[in-house]
Amino acid sequence: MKCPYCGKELSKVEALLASFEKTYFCPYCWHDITNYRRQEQMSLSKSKISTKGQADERENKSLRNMRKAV
Amino acid sequence: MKEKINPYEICVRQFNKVADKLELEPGIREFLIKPKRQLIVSVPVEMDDGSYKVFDGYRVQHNIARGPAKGGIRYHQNVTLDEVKALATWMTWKCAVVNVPYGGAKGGITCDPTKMSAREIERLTRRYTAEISIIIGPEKDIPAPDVNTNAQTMSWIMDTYSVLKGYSVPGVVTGKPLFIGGSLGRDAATGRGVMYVVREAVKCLGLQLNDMKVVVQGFGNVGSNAALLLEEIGCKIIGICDVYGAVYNKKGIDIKKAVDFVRSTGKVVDLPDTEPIDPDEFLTLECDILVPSALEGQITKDNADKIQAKIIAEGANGPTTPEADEILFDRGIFVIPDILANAGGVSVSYFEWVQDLMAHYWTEEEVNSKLEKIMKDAFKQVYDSATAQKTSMRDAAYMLAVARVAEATRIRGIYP
Repeated sequence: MKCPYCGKELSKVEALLASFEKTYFCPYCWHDITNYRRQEQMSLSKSKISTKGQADERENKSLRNMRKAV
Repeated sequence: MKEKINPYEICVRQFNKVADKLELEPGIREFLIKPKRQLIVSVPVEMDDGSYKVFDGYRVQHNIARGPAKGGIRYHQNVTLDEVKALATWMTWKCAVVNVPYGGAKGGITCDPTKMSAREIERLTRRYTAEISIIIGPEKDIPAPDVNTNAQTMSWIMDTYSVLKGYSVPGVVTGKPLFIGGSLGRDAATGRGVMYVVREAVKCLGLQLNDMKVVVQGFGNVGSNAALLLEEIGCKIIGICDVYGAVYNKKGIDIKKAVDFVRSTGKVVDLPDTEPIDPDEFLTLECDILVPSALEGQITKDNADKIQAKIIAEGANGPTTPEADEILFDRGIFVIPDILANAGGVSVSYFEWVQDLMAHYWTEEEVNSKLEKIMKDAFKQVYDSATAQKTSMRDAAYMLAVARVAEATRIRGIYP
């Protein structure tokens, strides 16, 4: 595992802590890797949310079109 | 015949296994396994008959990379330096696994307190405290109760230390009575912690708690409180035992009555509505959950393949030998390791110390809810890590704990 900010290879100990600690800072550049991990998780779930958001937008658009038509 | 077990050897073997997995450098490895300080003291005591006896006392501080050393003091005829070293090391890992800011320590006196009067025990405690006072203190090393020591013992330690300092120092020990800075919820904390992790394990394994059959080995503070609280959440306690014998009732034992009975008679033997059973067969009784909460080295390669429980929650320190542990893992028995299962005690000890330093005290509900959060969080981290790495809960707990201490050591660096 590499630090996403400084690119330094993390040792086994550091990689374990980066994976399971609630908050973990890269010991080389002191960036918060937890945030990165969370962002990664969020972006994964975001991709699902955005699909849903796009669907909602499509739904709203069709509703607006329907209202216009009425 | 039971195999003779040196707890420190077990401790070193457990550490080496984890150090290999974590690919620790040889220097860090040596630093992490060697105790930081080992103090051996002679404790002379005037006995009630006017004679003098000299006891051997120990205080070992294993590691203080993450904070002051923390660990109990035990009085037992089998206490040795190796045992105290092992227990101190386990305290380091235990504090790290539940992420309380402590290192590990342990102390003990080789004595048989059952053959001593209360006054003799008090004199023993006070002299031992004076002897170890050079290395203990709220910011250095904070003792707590362990085998055959209790809130009264802690009061004597706190008083002796305070006399030596010239002012009251409640933060020097935990497990004190409430009157002098103890914490609500401390007494049942270890047993409560056992209950929380058992509940989490049952959830994770997709089982139902109701009417799960539980066998509890040891009916001291940890065993009796774990039994009471497991009964409260719907489990059926079918067997309990202590050093004098074991009793069994397949329909369930009324634990409140058992606690009252033990309080009045001092033993579980002859408990009404139970039948006596052979203590050697006790651990292999048919049950869902086994809670070994007596002394170390109880589950060995000789009885591990006969254990019938689905879950083992180690209320005691080191109840399973490494050989037995491998057998249990191969058999798919879910073992909640000691450093996680019985960490409720040190967690509430930490709360007590924080309250003493702040001179501000919390309600029992606050203490219990903070304990529940610590135990649930620690269980989840260990369980997630074990699942991700396809390893046992013990290895996962040790890896997380050793990694935290190794990282603290590396970041602090070595002086000079």
